[in-house]
Amino acid sequence: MSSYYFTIIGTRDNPLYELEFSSFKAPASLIPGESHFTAKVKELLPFIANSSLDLVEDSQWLTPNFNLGRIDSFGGIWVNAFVTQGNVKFILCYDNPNSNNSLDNGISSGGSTKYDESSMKHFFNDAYDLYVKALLNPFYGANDPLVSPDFDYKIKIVAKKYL
Amino acid sequence: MGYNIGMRLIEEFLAKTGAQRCESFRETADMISKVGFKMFLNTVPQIENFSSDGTSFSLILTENPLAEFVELPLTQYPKIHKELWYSQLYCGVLRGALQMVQLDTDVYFVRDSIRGDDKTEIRLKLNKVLKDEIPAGED
Amino acid sequence: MTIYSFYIFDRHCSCIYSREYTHTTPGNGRTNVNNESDVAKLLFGTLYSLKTLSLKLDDSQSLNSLRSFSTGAYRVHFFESLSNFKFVLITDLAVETLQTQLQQLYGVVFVNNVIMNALSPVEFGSAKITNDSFVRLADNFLRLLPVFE
Repeated sequence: MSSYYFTIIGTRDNPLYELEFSSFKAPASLIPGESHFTAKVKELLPFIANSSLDLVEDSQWLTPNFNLGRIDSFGGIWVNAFVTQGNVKFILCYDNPNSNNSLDNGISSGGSTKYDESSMKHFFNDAYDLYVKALLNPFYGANDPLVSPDFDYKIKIVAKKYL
Repeated sequence: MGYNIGMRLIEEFLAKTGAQRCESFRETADMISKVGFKMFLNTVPQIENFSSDGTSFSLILTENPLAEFVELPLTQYPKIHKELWYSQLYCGVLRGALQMVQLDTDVYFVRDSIRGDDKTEIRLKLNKVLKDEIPAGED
Repeated sequence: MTIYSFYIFDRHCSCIYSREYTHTTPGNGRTNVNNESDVAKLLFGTLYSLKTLSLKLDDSQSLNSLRSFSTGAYRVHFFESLSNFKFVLITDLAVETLQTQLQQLYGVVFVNNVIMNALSPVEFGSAKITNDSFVRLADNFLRLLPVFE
């Protein structure tokens, strides 16, 4: 059982969208998709995501791909990133199941690669697709927060499909 | 809005199709949907609700290329869902184009699916068939 | 066979283009000098009356449109688009029909260079077509016809 924190960050490092959810593959609670980050981790997540922006900017020049893969980890929270043509960053933070609550007890995890990199890649690609469609809406300006419930719903479907 | 587009568009339509004058408004309706919309927007709206006197009908757009990715914003302007017809342009274009072939019409939106309605419906109503103008001072 | 002159009238009955062809010095002739003249007005009046008359004689509308009329000296070819732009060519008697050519002139040259030209009006008012590319292409089109000598 693992939890995810997905956020879209605009070109001026402004937050556009965020979503917390857990893997739908093995529902561990009555409400599928409910995230299981502890309260302490929850409030740290935006900081973890934003602190990885420097690393995103460094690593985006090292690869021709949009998907940058895992670029950072912080106290058992791993960070994958994706950068669009327009320099909007998609960041996905997730806890490592082998190091439950490592942030709470201060033990950093060893490298488990149980997470499927390719499903995250698919998730990013589909999210990118949705983002581009949202961008094509004439009522949406670049770097505006993504408040559309339709977009939210579709992102959740993509999350359910891949993660 | 769109009237001037319609004025020019009809010439392109006539030049490309070489269409002849329609005998009835029903024929005009078919021409608009099966030839006009097909040619310029690659979609064929359905014709429905022809009034009994044959002077008004509805175009039902199953897909709307103008509003393909459009989503009306929710929060900023609550009036937007009541007052904005996003694809109003169609009305002007149709009115302008029909006016140029001597059909004086009223065109308005009845429903629009991006407002959350079940389908997109444009109503066309024929007022009169215009006569050719004659030079001033002659009878 | 030869073409003497060419006129276009708009929906509001005004002459928006007139062109004379002189055949002694090739490539010459005057443009837009006759628009306000009695010649243009009478020509329009004649065509208008003939058109109305022809519709009165037989009202099976669709194919009964005026195409040409002739006198002992010349023939007038007439084409009207559904949007009421009227195209008139005056030729000598040897030219039989120019319907398809006039239709092409409307569909290709006129629509592409006047209607699709955003800087050119579609409601002319008292303006005329002064658009160089239209004048050039219309001239070329007519000059390349076998009937233009």
